[in-house]
Amino acid sequence: MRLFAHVNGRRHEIEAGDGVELDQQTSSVRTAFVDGRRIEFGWAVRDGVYTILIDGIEYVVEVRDALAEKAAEFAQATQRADGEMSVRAPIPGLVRKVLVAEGQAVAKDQPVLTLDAMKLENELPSPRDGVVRAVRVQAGTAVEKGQVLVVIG
Amino acid sequence: MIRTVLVANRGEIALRVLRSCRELGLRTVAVYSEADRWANYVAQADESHLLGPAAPAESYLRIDRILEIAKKSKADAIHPGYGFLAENADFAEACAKARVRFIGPRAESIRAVGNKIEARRLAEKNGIPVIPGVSRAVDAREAAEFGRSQGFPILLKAAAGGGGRGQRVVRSEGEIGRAMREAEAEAAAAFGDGTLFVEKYVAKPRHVEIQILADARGNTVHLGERECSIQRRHQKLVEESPSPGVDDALRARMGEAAVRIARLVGYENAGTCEFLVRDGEFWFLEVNTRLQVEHPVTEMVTGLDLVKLQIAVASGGKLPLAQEDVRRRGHAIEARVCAEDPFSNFAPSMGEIAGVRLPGGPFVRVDTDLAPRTHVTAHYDSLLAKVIAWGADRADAIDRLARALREFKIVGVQTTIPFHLQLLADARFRSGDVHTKFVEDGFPLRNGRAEREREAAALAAAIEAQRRRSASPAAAATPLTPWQTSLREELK
Repeated sequence: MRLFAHVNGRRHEIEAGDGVELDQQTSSVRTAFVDGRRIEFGWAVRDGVYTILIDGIEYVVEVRDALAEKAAEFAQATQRADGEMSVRAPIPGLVRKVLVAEGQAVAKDQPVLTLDAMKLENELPSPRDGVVRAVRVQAGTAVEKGQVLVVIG
Repeated sequence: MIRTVLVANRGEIALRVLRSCRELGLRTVAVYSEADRWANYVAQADESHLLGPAAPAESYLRIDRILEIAKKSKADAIHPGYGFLAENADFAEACAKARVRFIGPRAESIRAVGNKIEARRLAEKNGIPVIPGVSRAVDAREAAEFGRSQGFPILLKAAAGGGGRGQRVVRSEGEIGRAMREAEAEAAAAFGDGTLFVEKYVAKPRHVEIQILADARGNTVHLGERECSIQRRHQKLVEESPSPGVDDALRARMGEAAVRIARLVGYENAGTCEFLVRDGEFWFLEVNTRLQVEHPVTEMVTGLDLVKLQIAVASGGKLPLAQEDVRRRGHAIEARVCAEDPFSNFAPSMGEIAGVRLPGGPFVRVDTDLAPRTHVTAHYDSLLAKVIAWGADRADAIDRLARALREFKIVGVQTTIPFHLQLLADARFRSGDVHTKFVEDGFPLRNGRAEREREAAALAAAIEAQRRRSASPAAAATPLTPWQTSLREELK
């Protein structure tokens, strides 16, 4: 079975079963022979997206068959590459600092604001190069997970 | 006599306290928020009561609700754990008023050392070394004057502070105005008090703390030190005892200073004196009037159960040991495993815990309340588990901790385990040459994410293929085994 696995923005084409032999467990920690070496790993799946844990590092892996891969490619091609993108709150928290103003040019990965959550201050980066179209929050605003904070266009 | 203990906390510390209570044969009461209804610790108590919604202000910080539950459940003592109400003098006072023993120091002692300026003054007056500074509230002009006379950099600190909030390093006179405004605002927001004082900035010190223990009859002992220099943004990541930077002579001097401070404020129960240490010199910082997160390393080297001792002295008993009875053996080290992504600047990682495999083996202790299907949320701090290892010496303890962390599997959120594994293998860390900026100023965390990406992809694909095969019509059409056939016949 030919499958396409996407991890960290990279695509791996895999002939399932090639070099990998799984145990018969169903628990979230299992073992497998990978190229002849037996390893222990963690896994979970939700909505077709796998989480694989190896040596303490989680890999988020989206697996598609050839048909689904084609469909995803098509969907991506029809999406405008220069569309507006939002910076959303990845977690509920309190906005501590807004680091950009409307109309300001920003580079990809440039921090646009900081969010306080779980006793820590977290920097949220711009998803792309562009111009700040809207700032929807200010310092002190309590935000919900997924809330749009800044729009970059 | 204490018969029933209510634990006013959640997670691993609630479980840790409940365990000692059970060993003592005490009745136990757990409290929980709506988010913790299915947490493991709730099931480990004889009784459990709902406090309120997930937000701490509506649950674990509700003094009125906790005391109401204490009354209803006939609890005669409350253990506050750490965080939440642990260092809240009003809570200690409210407990006293409600005739429930607060397992911790008296409200007056908490107040006496809660303000950093007051604590500094107390130490200064009694000949305990403090960092050169101004032991009163300062404004920008006074801070500038101090900087000019002592030299920059200087450190602005909040009198009511903690956890690095309301704290700013000022490197030149020009930076003072802005730093003052920021620190003041931060302190006012976090503690409701924007008062600042100023100290000389000590570059690259060790953070070393002394565990103290006192009864109500004036007996006070110290249980040696914990080295807590491995931290990030004032959040500790690794603690150990003994400190590789403290010898017997320094330990004796610091221990004596900590005991003296405790006696000065009539301290009862367990507490911690924090110090900065550099080149064999030490300076008093503050007293933490609670059981610390990292208390297990002290337990592992002294063989003492700090929670049992807390309960013993809270019952009015005499400390069962004198200073010369405190014996230390070997080395203990703890890793705080947090739900944070070390490769993304330690950003919180949230989600559902899909599965857990705990480490074990010789001389390894795991303090955790992790359970599958529980959620890691933004309401509470990100600590998932503490893994503590004991060894005959430091290298032995470090090797054990690394081995245990490699066994530890937490599926569902990214944890700090990869950071810990790299740290424990680092030559400089292993040499013991650490300071409070060790992690932030140049620990070269290698992003190992790309290394086994292909393997992760192959494993996910293999599981997906396995699932598809077992769900396919071909799999369903597999002939039945004789046993299955006979079972089917029987069911008919």
